[in-house]
Formats: sequence, C-alpha cells, structure tokens
Amino acid sequence: MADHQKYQNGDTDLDALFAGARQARPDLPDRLMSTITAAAAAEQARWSAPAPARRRSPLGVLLAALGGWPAVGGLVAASCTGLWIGVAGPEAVFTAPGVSALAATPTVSSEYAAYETFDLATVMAEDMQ
Amino acid sequence: MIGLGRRAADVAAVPEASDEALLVLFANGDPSAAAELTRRLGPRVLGVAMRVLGNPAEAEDVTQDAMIRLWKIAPDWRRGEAQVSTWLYRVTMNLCIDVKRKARGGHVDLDAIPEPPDPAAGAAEGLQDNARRDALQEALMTLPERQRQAVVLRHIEELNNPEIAGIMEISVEAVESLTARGKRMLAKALAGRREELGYQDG
Repeated sequence: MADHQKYQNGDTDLDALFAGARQARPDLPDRLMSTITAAAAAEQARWSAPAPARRRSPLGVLLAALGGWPAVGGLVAASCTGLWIGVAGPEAVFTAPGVSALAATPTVSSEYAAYETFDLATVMAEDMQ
Repeated sequence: MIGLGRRAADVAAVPEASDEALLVLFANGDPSAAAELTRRLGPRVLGVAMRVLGNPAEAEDVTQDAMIRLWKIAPDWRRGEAQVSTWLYRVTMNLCIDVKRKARGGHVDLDAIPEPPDPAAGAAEGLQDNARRDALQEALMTLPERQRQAVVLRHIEELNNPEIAGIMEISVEAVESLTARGKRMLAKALAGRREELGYQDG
C-alpha cells in the first residue's frame, strides 16, 4: 500500500483514504446472510403460531369452578367457623365476645320486660273486675 | 400490528420499496422481505461495525444481533417516526459499545479513553490480511470510541450531521465537534505512523 505518500497532505489524503474505505465495504458473508434470514423466518413463525392453549391443573379447574380466589376465601372462612362451632359447642357461640355483644344490643332489658308483663297483667286484672 | 395491505409478490414488483415498507411487509408475514432488507442493510451494518470495532468476528456478531433486533421490533414499528437505517445504525453503535465494554471488564468511558496502545499486536490484530494493511483502520483505532463512531458515520457512511446526531443521540454541534477532533487526530496518527515506518517524501 502506498498510503504513505498521501499522508503528507492532511485532509486531502484523509479524504482519499475515506474514499478507499467506502470502496472496500465488506460483503455480507453467505453464512451470516443465512443465519440472519433464518432468524427472520423463525421470528415470523413465532408470530403466526397460535398461542399455546393454557393447560389448567386440577386445582386450577376447581378454583375456576368455585369462582376464583375471593370465593375460596369466603368458603374457607365459613368452613372454619362451622368447624369451630362443632368442636366448641353452642355455648361458645353465645359467650364469644362479638356474638354476646350482638345478642345484647337489640334485645330489651329484662327489667323492662318484667315490668311490661306485670303491667299487662295489671291491666288484664283491672279489666276482669 | 401495522398493516400495509400489500401481498408478498409485491416485493419483487416494487424493488424501490422503502426500508420501512419492507419492514411492514415482513411484519405482515412476507417471506421475502427479510432477505431484501438484509441485502440492503446488512452490509452497511457490517461495514460500520468492522470500522468501529476493528475485528471482523465481533463485527459479524454485532451485525447478526442488530438484524435480529430489527426482526423483533418489526411488529411494533411506528411508521414515520424514524428511518429504519437510522434505528439500525443506533442499535449497531450501542452493540459495538457493549462489545468494547465487555472487553474492558464492564467499563468504558466513551469520550476519554482511546484504544489502549498496543504497538506490538497493533490495532489490526485479528483482521483479515487485506484489513491488516489498512492504515486508516489502524489510525481509527487510536481514536476514542465516540469520535471513531462519528468519523465512520460521517466520512465512510457519508451520513449527514443531523442523521448522525439522531443515531448517536447527541446534538448536531456535538457531532461536528467529534468529527472535527476525530479528523485532526486521524491525520496526526497517520502522519506519526508514516514517520514511525521511516517513509520519505517524494
């Protein structure tokens, strides 16, 4: 290569080297061309292939039948409560803090009930006279 | 998915179809569009990668990787936003930087570090015989990474500064600065090499 003679003129020589480089662009080797086009075909095949059917496990089928995880959560809570009532007996239900408070609220007091009963008896007794 | 409404046979009928039209055809399943795109763009990618990396094997790997990325992006290609070649050059440049980064153990300062001087092996180590004698390549390898990229894109690929700015994701002014400094360094490197080899004028 006789490039050395061109170097002395700075930009002009550099431009000549650039021009030479443009002429000497490499060809794509056949092997590389094949690899790239094969990758393209594989990519196209991937798009056109139907999406693989989702296989469900037996647990997945059961879950879907019950209505999903929220439904299963409710089912588990109800089952646990039933089991607890069965094991602890009905007293436990009435003595449970939440339940007793619930039971006390809407009921009239026993004193008032007694008074009402007494009152009714008095009225009836008066009527009888 | 983008659609052009052309059939596969149209590729042959419209040889001057734009790169983007070919990419759309490819995304629509055209079997011959990829080959045409590879014929058009593959050699350009390989050429740039060879000049930037100075190593044919690495350049071929980068070319393959860049083209495969193009195939993968094809279905999501947004028409009219960028030229296919600009996108591909950008991917190629980034892949070249990755190659250099890996070679240097995970770090490369793009603007500050020139190629490590290795006069014994020379920058052309591993190049084919014809490239081994390529004085320009040896000089290019003495430039910092970004300067080399800018010079290759400007003076070998003959792209304009705005396009190079888009590829390198920098301003046009930064491109002008990189190419100007790159050319000065190249001239210096070539002059130095000439003296080193004991060439005489005339």
